[in-house]
Amino acid sequence: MVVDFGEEGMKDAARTGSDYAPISANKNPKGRSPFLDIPHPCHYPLLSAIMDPPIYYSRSEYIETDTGNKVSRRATIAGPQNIVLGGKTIISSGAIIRGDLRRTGPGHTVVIQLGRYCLLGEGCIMRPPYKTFRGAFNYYPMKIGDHVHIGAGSVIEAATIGNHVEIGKNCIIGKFTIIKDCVKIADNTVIPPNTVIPTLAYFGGSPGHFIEDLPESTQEMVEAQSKQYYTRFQALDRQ
Amino acid sequence: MGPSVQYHCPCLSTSPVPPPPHLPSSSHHFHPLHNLFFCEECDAVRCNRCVAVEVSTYYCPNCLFEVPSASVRAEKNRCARNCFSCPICRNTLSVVSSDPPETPDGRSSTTVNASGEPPFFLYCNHCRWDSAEIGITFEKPTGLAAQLQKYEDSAPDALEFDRLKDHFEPFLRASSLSSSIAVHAAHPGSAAHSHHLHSASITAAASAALARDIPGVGKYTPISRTASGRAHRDRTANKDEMPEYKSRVDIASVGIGAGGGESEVDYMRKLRDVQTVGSLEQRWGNSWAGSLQVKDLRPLRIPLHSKRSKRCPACTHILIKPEQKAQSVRYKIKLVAANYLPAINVVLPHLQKPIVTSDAARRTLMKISPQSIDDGTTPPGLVAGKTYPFHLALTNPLYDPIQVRLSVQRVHVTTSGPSEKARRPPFAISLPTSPFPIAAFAEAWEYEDDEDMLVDDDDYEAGMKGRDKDGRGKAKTVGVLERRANVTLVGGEVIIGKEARGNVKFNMLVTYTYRSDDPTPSEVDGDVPKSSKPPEVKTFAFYTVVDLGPILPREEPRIEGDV
Ligand SMILES: [Zn+2]
Ligand SMILES: [Zn+2]
Ligand SMILES: [Zn+2]
Ligand SMILES: [Zn+2]
Ligand SMILES: [Zn+2]
Repeated sequence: MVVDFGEEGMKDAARTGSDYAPISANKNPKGRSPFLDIPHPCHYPLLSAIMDPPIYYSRSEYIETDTGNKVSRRATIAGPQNIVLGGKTIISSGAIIRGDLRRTGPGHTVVIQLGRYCLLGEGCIMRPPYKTFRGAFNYYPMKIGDHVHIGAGSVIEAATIGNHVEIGKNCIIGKFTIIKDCVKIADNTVIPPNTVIPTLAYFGGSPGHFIEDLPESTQEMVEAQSKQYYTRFQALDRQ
Repeated sequence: MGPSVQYHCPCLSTSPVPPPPHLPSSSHHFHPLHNLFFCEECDAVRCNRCVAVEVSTYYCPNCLFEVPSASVRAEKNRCARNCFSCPICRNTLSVVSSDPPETPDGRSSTTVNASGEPPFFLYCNHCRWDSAEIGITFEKPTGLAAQLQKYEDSAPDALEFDRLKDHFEPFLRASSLSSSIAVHAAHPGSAAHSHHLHSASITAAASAALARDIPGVGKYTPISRTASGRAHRDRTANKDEMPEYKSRVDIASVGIGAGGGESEVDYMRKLRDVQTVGSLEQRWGNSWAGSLQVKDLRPLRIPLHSKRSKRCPACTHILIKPEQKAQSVRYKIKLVAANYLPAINVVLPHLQKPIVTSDAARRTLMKISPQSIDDGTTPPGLVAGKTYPFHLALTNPLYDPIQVRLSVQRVHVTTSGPSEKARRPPFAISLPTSPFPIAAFAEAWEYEDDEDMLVDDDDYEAGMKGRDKDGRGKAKTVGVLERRANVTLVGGEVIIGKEARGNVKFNMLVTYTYRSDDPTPSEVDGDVPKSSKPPEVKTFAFYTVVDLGPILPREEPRIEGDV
């Protein structure tokens, strides 16, 4: 089933400031770039524009929101009023987001929240986690940070996913999983329910387990890649 | 895996030149740029292989509790709270209560439900093992590690280890004391030396203990690394002073599987179901040799993880210092090579095709630019006997412009026979020989987000034409192709021999000069006329290995006829 929705349907998180926070020119004595938490210049979209080929989609397939989210009309967005996209996030064709599986009770509620520069690959399923607690069955919200890429065909039931996270293709992320910042999960990994994945960890296997530490510059690299991906993802017009 | 560029770390070697790329040792010397560090003091690249590492924080990877280093040893490097891994599949276990199933399908009754009825037990929600199977249950759902402490402490291997420790402790304390006194007498204030000797005496004591004759075990004959007599004398001295240790546990009596023996052979002989034997992976995490049988496997407390500081091995300056908090990804100090060396990315333009996400997009692209569609006729690599252009994009991370020169390291591929003459390498690389500039990195570049930053397909075609016209378009293929912001795009060319095999892989020396703003002491005071002198120009050079990918065998002439 394909649910079409208006541009009003999905909320864009209100954001202040520009897309790219300016970097302080905190020169050190040698005139080299400073070293504290500043994205490395080689990671900016510029390089990718020269070296990485574009990813073309047809303009008619995608809806682009005011804050630059690109949502395929062939994605299934259930309960769009309960879904928040941060901006410049791409929802690919065939993806399913279950914003309709909300906590019982009156009023509005955010069921699934995605940050900026996220990617939901083709055929991904995002479903909020659920459990029976003290006799009452309920769904619980899912929160996903910025720069989170999820590969095609993965099923996500996590409670929280931090910033700068890469999840491979065909993964299963079980209910109430907590993924901290700067984590990478290999293709075809099965993360059982309630797993906690610490920062800078590379996980893989079934059940997923720790494989190795990620490098200290993971944050900058992932941020660069997610921005590059957004730049490369371009509409191709019929002529 | 596309073409790649990796960077050399000499790892304090006296020779800064890496081995030729076709040797297996090459891969040990090269790393992705983002895994490397840079020591400003030494003006040198450092890698994870050569840096000195110190633990700054211990934490449990599951409950994320930060364990004070004082208790790490007492808790045997494992989480002392509620975190256990499944003995069967290594998944993290959940604590569940004995409540009746609440969901009608009975499927997910066992979620984390620590508020229910005792007894509680550990449950694996991946393979469905539970601790009640092996008779482990708990009265309350918290402090499980403490509740299990009695099992752990009474295990024969734990008891034996504690007795061994008690046995060696007084001796180690005495010998470390005497050696540090000796060192302080010889070199007062030399802490590094005393530490070194201290660990040497521990090693000597341990090897003396290991050198005992054990029935059925081959004699331990250490190869003395230092020919000097000191280590040898220490060992004989230790042997004399140390009382003999007698194990209180008879290994054969402990039961099946405790390090071999008749009973284990017997068990294996009568084995009917191989599933009852624990796999090596399942038994690996246990302290020494335990039972072979799955039914004897116990849940293990989860091993702690650590955050680490890294120091330069030559000057001991800190290169990496993480924030103390376990789950922070910020660093107090982070001297990474990517902030000092130009980043180099390589592509083969003939393999760069746009990606289309749908058939509709493909059809549109077909109308606009049919040649850019990947129609499957392009071989997915480099074909022997052909010539290809390749592009190197160099990005300057510095706030000053740099001049870069590239040169290919010569390789002599020699055959095994000494009488045979050196063969020519199976390919030849052309790169621009003169230095070229890369503009300074400036914050403003970041704001450019417009579409004209994309290279038109024409540019790729220009590169393609260069090789088709029999080297006539060479001027376009080899040289600086484009300069934009702090990126310079350089073209190179590879001519592949007809019988070439293996990867097109070559070492490339990158030399760059930059303006050094090092303030000299006289300049710091300000208004000194000397500051009018021109800024000093410094040079830094490093090796990279460029891998353009595997060479495919030559196709039948059919394909060339089509072209
Ligand atoms: Zn970089
Ligand atoms: Zn090294
Ligand atoms: Zn723990
Ligand atoms: Zn299990
Ligand atoms: Zn140093």
